[in-house]
Amino acid sequence: MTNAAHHRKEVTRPMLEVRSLSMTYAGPESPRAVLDDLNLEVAASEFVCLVGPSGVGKTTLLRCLSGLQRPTHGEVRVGGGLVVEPPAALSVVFQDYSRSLFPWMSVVDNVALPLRAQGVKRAKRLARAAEMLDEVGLADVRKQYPWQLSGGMQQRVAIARALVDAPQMLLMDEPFASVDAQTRFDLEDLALTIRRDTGVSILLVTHDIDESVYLGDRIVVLSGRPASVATILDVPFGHRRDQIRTRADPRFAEIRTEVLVRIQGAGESEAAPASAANLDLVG
Amino acid sequence: MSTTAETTSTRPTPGADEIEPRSRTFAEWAQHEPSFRTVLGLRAVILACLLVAWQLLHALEVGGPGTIPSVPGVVRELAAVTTEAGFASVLWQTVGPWLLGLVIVVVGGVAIGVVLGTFSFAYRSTRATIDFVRSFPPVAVIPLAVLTLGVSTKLKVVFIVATCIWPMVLQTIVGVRSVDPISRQAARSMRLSWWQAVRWVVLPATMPYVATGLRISAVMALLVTIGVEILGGVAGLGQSIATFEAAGDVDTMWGYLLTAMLLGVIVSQGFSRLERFALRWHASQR
Ligand SMILES: Nc1ncnc2c1ncn2[C@@H]1O[C@H](COP(=O)(O)OP(=O)(O)OP(=O)(O)O)[C@@H](O)[C@H]1O
Ligand SMILES: [Mg+2]
Repeated sequence: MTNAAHHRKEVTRPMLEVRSLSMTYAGPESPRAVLDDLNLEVAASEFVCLVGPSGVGKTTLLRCLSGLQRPTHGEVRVGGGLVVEPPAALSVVFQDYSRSLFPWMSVVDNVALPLRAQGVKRAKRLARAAEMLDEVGLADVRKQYPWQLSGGMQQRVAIARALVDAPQMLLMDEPFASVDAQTRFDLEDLALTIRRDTGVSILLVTHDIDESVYLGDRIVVLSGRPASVATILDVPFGHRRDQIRTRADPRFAEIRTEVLVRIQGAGESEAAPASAANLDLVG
Repeated sequence: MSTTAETTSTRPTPGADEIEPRSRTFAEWAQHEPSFRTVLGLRAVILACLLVAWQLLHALEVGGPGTIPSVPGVVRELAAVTTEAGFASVLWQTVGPWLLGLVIVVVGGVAIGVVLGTFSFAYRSTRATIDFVRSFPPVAVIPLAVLTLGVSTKLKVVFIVATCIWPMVLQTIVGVRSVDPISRQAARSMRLSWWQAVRWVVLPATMPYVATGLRISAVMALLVTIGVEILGGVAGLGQSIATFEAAGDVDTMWGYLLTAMLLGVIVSQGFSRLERFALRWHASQR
């Protein structure tokens, strides 16, 4: 992309930039390449969904983006700054909330922990944590312990903790995978509300193609072995969405089909390159 | 199953098959939670057996006449010893150093354990040394230690720490090494410093292991204290036991010996309670 093209598209720099990122694990016998030459951008206040088959390397990618893991090649920038350790401007909501919340701390202490690490005074950080709990719809469980809450409520606590230090970028790894359907809808709407209210950029990993269409401004399809970006699809629904009306929109079904075809097509093209031509007709 | 019920029972009740609980398997029976009354009853039975066995040993004059006093005699001695004027100070001479030693064991053991558990190379390189050092028989050097440290509280504390710190160190190492990697990643992504992560994540997560180590070390420390008192002649319950034994006052000796054993029960049960309280957040206690 030339500089001029870049400026025509967006004036400000992307919130998150991933440049030719590769990750190879040192396996017990042979090294295992998981990610290969992966490029990705997330703009400020953009909601990007990352989909891909199980084991393709989504969690690995998020770990590299969050500075928890050093990629073998390539670079990650958050807000323009090169990521070498977990950046202050970025928060993570982990795949397994029951393990990422600390059971020995009350809910409010869990949420306030990032501020405590920064040395914010007790009264101030508890007030801020309480405010965040209100924001995610958990006003009356501050004094309880995470394990006394339902799965959906625990995930809200994890989201409140991720937001407490006002990050500019939020990474979420299959955050709503293990809750019931209604809770899932509520949490999806919560994610949309948070993006609208705080202007945070969100990169959300999901297995659920419907969820990616409902939430994302763009959908990034990851595939291959080692994996890279197969396709990026735009979703035209804007910032305000509604579980019933958005999902009933004819374009919703179209995009869903397209994502599905891209995921399966990418798998096929790997097995039989000849069939790749057919895919272009669909896309 | 219904045929069996019909042929064997003389008065077949309608629907008995459904109402009648199926017989419990052995595993279920072995694991079921007994009622509090059952537990009390069983405890009474076991205590009675113990007393009968004791009285039997007394009647058979095991170890020579007068070695084992009668049950009523021992109860009398226990009452006499514990109500004596100097008893509280003798008890404190044992409990005080025990407590001091234990505090050092906990603080030192956890600190060493955290360092060795955090740094793989430190653990790998010291493991054999630890096994070597903790296999050292302390009894062997008590006479020597009396010369250098004197007949003192210091002597007791040194021996408590030297022998009882190891369960603490080893338990802490295991605990630190089994902290959930997701917890560690969460701590890192929240930008906790190393020291913050130790205090707020690693140590709390290690608490179940530390509590077990503490329970083991506490009882062990009591035995060591009494042992040092006996062998080194330092004032305390152990010395009283040794003195009265040497003087041929076997009944009084038993009074002190039983006091020491009861202290062991109190310590063990007390630390179990403390463990449950400190770990009320832990999965095993919910
Ligand atoms: N620490 C590691 N060491 C070696 N290999 C790893 C490690 N972590 C992940 N892998 C391998 O990398 C591949 C991708 O794993 P990853 O967890 O990133 O997949 P994923 O897309 O998140 O899967 P899922 O959808 O099931 O969560 C897997 O084949 C896995 O075996
Ligand atoms: Mg994953």
